[in-house]
Amino acid sequence: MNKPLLKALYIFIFSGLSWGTYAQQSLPPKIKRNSLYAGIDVGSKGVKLSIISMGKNAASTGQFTAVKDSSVNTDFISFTPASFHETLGALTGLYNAALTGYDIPAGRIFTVVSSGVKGQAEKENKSDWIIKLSDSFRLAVNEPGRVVDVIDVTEEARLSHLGIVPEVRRYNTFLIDIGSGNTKGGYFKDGNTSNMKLFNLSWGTKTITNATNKRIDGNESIGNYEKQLARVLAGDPETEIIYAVNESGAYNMNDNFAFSGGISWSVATLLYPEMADNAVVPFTYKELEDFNERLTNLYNLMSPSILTRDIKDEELKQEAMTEISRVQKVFDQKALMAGTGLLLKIVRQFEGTLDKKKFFLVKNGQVGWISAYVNQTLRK
Amino acid sequence: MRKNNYDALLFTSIAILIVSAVLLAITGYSLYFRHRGEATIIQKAASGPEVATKDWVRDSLQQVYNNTVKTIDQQFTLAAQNASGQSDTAYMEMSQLKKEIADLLRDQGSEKNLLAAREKIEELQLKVVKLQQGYSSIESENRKLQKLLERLMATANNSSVSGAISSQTAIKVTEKSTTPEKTINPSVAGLYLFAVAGDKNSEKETSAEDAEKIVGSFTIKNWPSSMRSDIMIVLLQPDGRVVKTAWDSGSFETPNGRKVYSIKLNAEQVSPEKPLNFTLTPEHIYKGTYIMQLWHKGNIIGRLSRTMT
Repeated sequence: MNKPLLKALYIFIFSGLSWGTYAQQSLPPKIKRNSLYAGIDVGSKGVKLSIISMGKNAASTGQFTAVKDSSVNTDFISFTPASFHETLGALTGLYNAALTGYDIPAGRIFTVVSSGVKGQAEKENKSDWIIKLSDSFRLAVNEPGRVVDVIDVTEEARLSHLGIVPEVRRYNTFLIDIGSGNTKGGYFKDGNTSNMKLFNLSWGTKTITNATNKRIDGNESIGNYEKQLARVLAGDPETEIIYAVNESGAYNMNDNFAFSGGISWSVATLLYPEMADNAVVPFTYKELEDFNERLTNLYNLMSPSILTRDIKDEELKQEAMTEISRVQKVFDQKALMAGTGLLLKIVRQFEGTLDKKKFFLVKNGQVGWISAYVNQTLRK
Repeated sequence: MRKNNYDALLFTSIAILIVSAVLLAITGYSLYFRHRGEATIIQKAASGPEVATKDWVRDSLQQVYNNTVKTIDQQFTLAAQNASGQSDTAYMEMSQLKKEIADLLRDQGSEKNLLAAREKIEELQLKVVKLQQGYSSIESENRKLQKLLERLMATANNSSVSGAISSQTAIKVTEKSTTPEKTINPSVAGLYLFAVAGDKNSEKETSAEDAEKIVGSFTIKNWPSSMRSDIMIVLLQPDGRVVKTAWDSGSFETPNGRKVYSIKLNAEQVSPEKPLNFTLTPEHIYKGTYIMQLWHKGNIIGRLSRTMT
């Protein structure tokens, strides 16, 4: 067995999929097996499998449940034979895992190549690598008719919006995804889902963290980090945010501003542990500002046991504690401060004194596109 | 003469022997007791680090405790200025906690006490944070009202209204303007709750099994036009859990901690004396008794229970 296949196998053994034994993975009590769909996305950093459950109200409410979310790092965009084989192995491995581990029929497994890969391939004149990957994958899974869609930036943003934002809020919601290296998003103009106004920033959680780390000059204290972070945020990021927000025209066109991405998930998890089982939570600018303050000065009070001490429902409490621990494994105090600082700067642009906007944190944004893709494909 | 010399020599020798014996005894005695002393010191030193660590933990907890208490005192100075009833309860709770922590820190005994003290200090710190948040929102509300007043004064001045208003009066007016919200308690009437199916134009009441959504309605009374606060609707399903839907549900502060709401009606959505409606589309609607609670500023103002068949 080659290395990427081993990697995929490893991930699934440890995520409980029992792919090797072809045993079916057990599901949470409320999830019905016939409501499951899988999306496999070949991205710049790796191949990601998302398994979701679409309920009866999914189309109108935007409600879906993320059942599983796993990825294998492969670096396809380095366009080397090794990365090609790794990506193909991961793609095939994850596909088989969804097929056998979760018993999802092939017709409900969707495979796409993301905009990041498409953009880089076009830039380096390597678009044929994507075709080769798709052909090899069809051969490997013995499905000559399998569709492997290649999605561009606008389509990705459009699908995320359609998948995450419910129909009733579709034309008055600005969705912004704060990633590690950049921030992107958009909204539908003129009540038309084919007319998307895009929004882009070259700053993300990691880039802000890196820029701050460059300035700390050996003084690792939180006080110094806070000071340097404020300086970083007040520089280029602020200028770019103000320009991008004004250029988007989003303030006047929207009532709701929804934020997805790793930092949004983290803030939602730490700020509202009692909402651990809700994928989207509302917040106010003031609450975010207070949270930012606590991150700096009272981080020692953000342990899972302290944050969940008022939750009476034991099941919910356990769920919240697990999520809080996950957040604290992904982001340390300084990374949380950097991401929250960036989020606060963006939200500040939409916090009106007279025209009150509503703000939301979206926790499962990374799987949002699949539900839209599923809906779109089934309607065709 | 010779005999005398021998006697003197014998006497001197005996004296030297006695002195030597005494000196030896003293040396032996002091050596023996010095070793015992060292052994005691070594024994003490062996248990030293633990005692030292405990002391260090106790000192550091004492430091954290002192800082927290200092913050509480500052906050209650503010509380005294704002004279709020709620702060009395908070003060009593914190005083009790302060007393318990002080007792635990004073006790030189077990590690259990130190752990308990640490937990109580954390609890105290959380209470202080909540208190600070409460005051900062009051402060910002006051600032907003102050600005509004200044704008009104400017308008009044521009319209050549005679009589200058001093800043003292301004503060009084600000206080007055907050008073109605504090004293008037809105009430509710006409509470309804249905499980329904069908779209907006053909909605009809149905069984829990066939229902697609839950629709509720109520009317607010005693709602002054100046009221700028939201109404939270908490819908409890038959198993006692709050009905939650993405995008509609959130949480809010009550005197007993944070509580989850099913849906919120913003102040601007509230029109008094008119039926206010809401719709929830949970993933499952169960048979059994649903309880609808209406909350305003952390207090329940209305309640209805309805059995879905």
